[in-house]
Amino acid sequence: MKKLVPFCISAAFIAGCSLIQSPSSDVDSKTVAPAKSAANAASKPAAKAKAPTIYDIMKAEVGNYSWPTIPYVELIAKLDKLRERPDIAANASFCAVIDQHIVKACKRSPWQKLKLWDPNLRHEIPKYAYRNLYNVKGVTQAQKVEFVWSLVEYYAGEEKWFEAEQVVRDAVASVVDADPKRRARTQWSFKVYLINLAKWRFNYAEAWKLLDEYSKVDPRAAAKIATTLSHEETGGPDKAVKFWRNADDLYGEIMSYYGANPNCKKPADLADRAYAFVTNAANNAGRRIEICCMLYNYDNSERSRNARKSLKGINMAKMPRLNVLNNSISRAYTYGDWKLVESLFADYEGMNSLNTPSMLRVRMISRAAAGDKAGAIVLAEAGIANTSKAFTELDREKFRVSIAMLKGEDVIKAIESAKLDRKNMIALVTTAGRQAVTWSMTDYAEAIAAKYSSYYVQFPQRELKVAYSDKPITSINDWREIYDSLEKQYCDRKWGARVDILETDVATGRQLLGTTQNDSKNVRMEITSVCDEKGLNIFLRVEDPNARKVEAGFANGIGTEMYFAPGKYEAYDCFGSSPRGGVASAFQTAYNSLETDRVDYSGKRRGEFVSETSFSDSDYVLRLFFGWDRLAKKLPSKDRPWRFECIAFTPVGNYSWGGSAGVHNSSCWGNLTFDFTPEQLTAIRKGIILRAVKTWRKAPNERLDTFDKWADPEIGDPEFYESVLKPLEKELSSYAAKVKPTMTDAEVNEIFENALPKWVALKHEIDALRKVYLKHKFAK
Amino acid sequence: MTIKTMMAAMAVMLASIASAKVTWYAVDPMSEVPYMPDSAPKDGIKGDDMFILAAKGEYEPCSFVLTSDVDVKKVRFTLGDLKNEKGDVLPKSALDLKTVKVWYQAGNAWTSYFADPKLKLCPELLLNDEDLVKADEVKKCNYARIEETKGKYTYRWLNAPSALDRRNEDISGSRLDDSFQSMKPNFKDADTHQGAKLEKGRFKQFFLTAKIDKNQAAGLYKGEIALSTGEKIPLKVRVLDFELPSPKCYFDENKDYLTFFCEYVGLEWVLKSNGGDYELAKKQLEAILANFARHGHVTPTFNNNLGLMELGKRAGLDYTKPLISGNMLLSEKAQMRHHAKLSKKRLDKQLGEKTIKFMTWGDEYGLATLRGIRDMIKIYHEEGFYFPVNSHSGYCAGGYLADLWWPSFAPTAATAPLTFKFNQLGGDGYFGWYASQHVGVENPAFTRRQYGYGAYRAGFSCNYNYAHHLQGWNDIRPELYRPMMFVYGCGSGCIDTLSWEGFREGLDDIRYATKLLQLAKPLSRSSNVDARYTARKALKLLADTDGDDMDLTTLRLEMISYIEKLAKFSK
Repeated sequence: MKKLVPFCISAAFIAGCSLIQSPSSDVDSKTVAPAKSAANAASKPAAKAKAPTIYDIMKAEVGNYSWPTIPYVELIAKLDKLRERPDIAANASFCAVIDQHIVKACKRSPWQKLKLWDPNLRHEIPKYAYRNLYNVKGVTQAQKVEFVWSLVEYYAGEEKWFEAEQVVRDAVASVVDADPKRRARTQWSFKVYLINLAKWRFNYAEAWKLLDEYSKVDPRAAAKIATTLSHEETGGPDKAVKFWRNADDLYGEIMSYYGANPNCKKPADLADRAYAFVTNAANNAGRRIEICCMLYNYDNSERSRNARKSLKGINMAKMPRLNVLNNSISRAYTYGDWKLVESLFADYEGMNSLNTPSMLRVRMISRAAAGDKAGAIVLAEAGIANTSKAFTELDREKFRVSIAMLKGEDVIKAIESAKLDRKNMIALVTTAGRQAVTWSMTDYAEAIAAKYSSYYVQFPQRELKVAYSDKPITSINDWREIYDSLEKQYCDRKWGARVDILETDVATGRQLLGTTQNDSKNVRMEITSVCDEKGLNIFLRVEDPNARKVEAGFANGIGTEMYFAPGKYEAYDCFGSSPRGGVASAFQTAYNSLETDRVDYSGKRRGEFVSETSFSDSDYVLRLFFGWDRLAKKLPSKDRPWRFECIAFTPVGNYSWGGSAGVHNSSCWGNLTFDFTPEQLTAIRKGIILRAVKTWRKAPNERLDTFDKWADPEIGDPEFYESVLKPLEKELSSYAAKVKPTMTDAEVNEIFENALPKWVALKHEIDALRKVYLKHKFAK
Repeated sequence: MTIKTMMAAMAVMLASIASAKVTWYAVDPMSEVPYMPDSAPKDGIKGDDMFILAAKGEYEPCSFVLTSDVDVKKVRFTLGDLKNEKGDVLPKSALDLKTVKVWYQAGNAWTSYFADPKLKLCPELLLNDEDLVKADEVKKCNYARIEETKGKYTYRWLNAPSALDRRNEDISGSRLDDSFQSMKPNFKDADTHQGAKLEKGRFKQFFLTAKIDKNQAAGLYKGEIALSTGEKIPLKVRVLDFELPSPKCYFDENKDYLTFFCEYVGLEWVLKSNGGDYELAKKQLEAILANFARHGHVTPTFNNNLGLMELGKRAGLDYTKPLISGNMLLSEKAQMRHHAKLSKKRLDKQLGEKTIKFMTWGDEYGLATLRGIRDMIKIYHEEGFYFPVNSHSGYCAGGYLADLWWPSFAPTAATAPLTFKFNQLGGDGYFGWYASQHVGVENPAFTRRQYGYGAYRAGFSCNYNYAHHLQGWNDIRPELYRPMMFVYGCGSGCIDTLSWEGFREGLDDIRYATKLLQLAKPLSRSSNVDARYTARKALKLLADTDGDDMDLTTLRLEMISYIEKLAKFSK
């Protein structure tokens, strides 16, 4: 029987053609894979002399010609120039390969080229494609097909249908072959595109007519096209039926519907015919297995089980690896369908692709998860006994620990008895832990997790005591004056360190410190903090002899990502900084409410937040200032530290102050601790009160708006005002009257506790009162 | 245990119940602060009545916190029918009581969707049977109750470290390879409320939702929640004399306000959580989609939404709303045109010609890609498809192309100028948001504002966030983001959360605002001066409101006041 070549076009070519697969062909094998065969043809003489191939030459002259890093226009110009080089121009095969790549570059989708793309390049396709057609030596049949297809696509894309068809007609006419059968097949390798052109214009009648003709030349290829054509036109398979009947290729039909085109509606009887194919021992064993895997490995229904059982007797060990088998097992395992996993292993017992440590483990885990511990132990023992190279010592230890778990033995003892290096030991613990949780062995899982955690060092909580300055700190210059007296800490914990720790001996913890202080650039982020009567200052300083270069923009310096929260578990803010720009924007985790007042990082509200930068010859500094006023309801104290973290992106790696493993890891942040004396606290509170009451007094219009609005019979609710707001107004006014510079400490504290929270959140206070008032009103 | 000892134990239990003094606090079901077991609710009103104010056809919650001066092994609740002054009945079947489960979540719980490796207590799940999940305050972790055989239970650890909580050790994994398959039939909540344990001196929150029938007569219905410890909590439900419209936009009260999620919910994901049981998965998916619909999310955004259209419709999803209908084919022009025409023909047949159909391509691409795909977009536009894009940076190059623009914005007043610009482009475009923040924050007040009035008032016309997941029972399993849960998958479908109830309240806020606008806008030009004044005051209420910081329950009550006033003029 004559061997049929299913495709005569390249994989890339097929990928570009959604419907049409090229006809079978009698053309010689060089045309089966054009790029490869062209390469072979082009490099054959050179190979003998070990001369470079055209691909070597293109790479040497142009660089990466498939995925260039230069603009495509430049790439094409370079390839075109290379084509003109005398030694290349003299080699027709070389020229064809170059043009192939030029056309590919012209066709490359703009989304694949991004910034290197030129939208007009596609119009260059005719120029480079045509010069390889018609009476050109050195161009293989497959390359011609590819050039024709490029032209057809191009003209059709421009809606130049006549030109597109003419390209095909010319190509068909150019075929010269004395053998009429072979000539017809070759002609159809072009003519098949007329079917595309017809359907793209929704002229399905024409497409079917052409397909009828094609079916006479290559019934199988035509039937494949019919599968999608019928689905597209009618939404069903009916029109394809006669083509498949004509092709008499049940395997091809099954593969076409279930493999290549799973979304196409299938003939009603195809499932039964497929079942019959699989269960008929007279059929090709490899194909039976392939279809069985494709259709019957996804459940344990009676039909599926019977189909799989029908394979019994086939020597599985002789079968090639089938991805579809391993994929179906993976699917069942991923779904946690343990019984199905076991069934599949049993039904395909002997397949080489299943004989690996990981697949054995998959089966063992599934067996135990399905309740068959004894059976799982048998598999694990087989894994231990397997001395093939594929099974490592680590694999064997994993199976040994699995057995300990399945037998209810001391799993930690089993783990600790393994003779493995540290890295493999952690892999063993990890696997054991995963198995324990998958098997819902909670006691084991918790014990193994504790063991696992012991491989990691927990960073101690970082704490920075915030100094209090009686003298106001209003700038970086003020801070420089007291700099020497401040406690200094550093972003010196390697960010994401948990990943690294796995590879290191953590017993001493010595690897945990960052190395920036010893690296050549010797830059690190230093943190100091000082507060005063108005608010908190945090200073990030980088001692850097290149500070002026950073200032001038010739060096980037250290950027940061920071987190701030006025207390544990409070809503937090995330913001970044750069040496020159300071803090630019913020991500906030709460809206404003009675509970939360968001800090405005734009700096527009005076005294709320300041971001200031400064450069000297030896350092650059970022000052962050948080005014107390906005955070008055959450003032820090000895028992209420504020939370802060700074991740510094340095030239020698990323380091954090608190020890964050990732971004936003709030439990890893450090504490800013405060230990105010009573006098300091009173001073802070007094300052907040004076500023708050100043606003209260200074804005009578706003006060009118707040209270009088409600008293107004037209725009307010006098009843609400009288019963709810008036007492509040009276209370707050009376407190406001008490506010004076000479307040005693007791008065300060009384006002701070009772009036201040309402002054600073008056709008929200009234919202809350109004809510209760209206609810009760509606409830009456 | 003998009958004698059982009787003795029961006697002790009854004695403790009889002597218990249980106190209740009326609390805000959409509270900004979590109600924790160790402290009295800060904003709770001791001994106050439970009150629900709802429109016809609406779901509306109330909430209370209980504390007892002795341990009560199980306090049980009896809800009776409610009656109004005319004798109309609001049946007890319209009421759904849940215990708010406080359990261990990642350190950023309540505030952020970002992961944190440590655990803390946080209220979240709404359960009929609080014992379905055990939060062990000694070990500081959670356990799931698994029914091994009928009536026989084991508890499974839920909080293994990230690296250990993997099912797919030897098989390339997927997003859903949590070791715990929560949607197997052996893990599900009870069908009805099972009572709750009260520990002496500790506090526990309960969540009561009323589903008002569309035909329920308006009026004030009264009843009570009777506790097995003897207390009776007065319960009032006022049914308003109107129904709510579907949500529309602030800038155009006739334009649909849409909700989308990145469509991770689907059969495939359910199968990965239930052990590969296809028939069960179909039932579970339908239950989840019905839950979507009950929460106001009626746009069919789930995986294979068209392939499972009948199932989606049965669940109550609305296939007449704009929906994501497929992917564009990015290819050579002729093939794209063909695909676009074919898709149009197929989808028109399936959905009708009038339904707005979005065709998508890619994700989070920038300026250069957006420029590169213009041809494709134009081809699909020519066939009548809409184009959604979630590019943050490509506005200048793609603003004119987008029919749904959803950058990673926080839907706040700060982004209002950007939505304003887009809304001025004259087309029928939608402006959505995602990522800031993603799903995951337990705080119902935050969710309510983010998916509701905050976005609405800032000029957004849809929510399109990422994501609505079903797994994620171990909050410390992912390493960058928390699992992004609105509900939790279980054997019977899904378990609701405070945040998910906040989502519904957010959409309902928009529906109330829509009702107000639809009444006020025509009246604002009325020849009746009083009507005109009232309408303008109502419009001013919304115009003056900062969507970022007004208490939304207060706003809702103000809107209802105005709606009732306006309705009188409309009549």
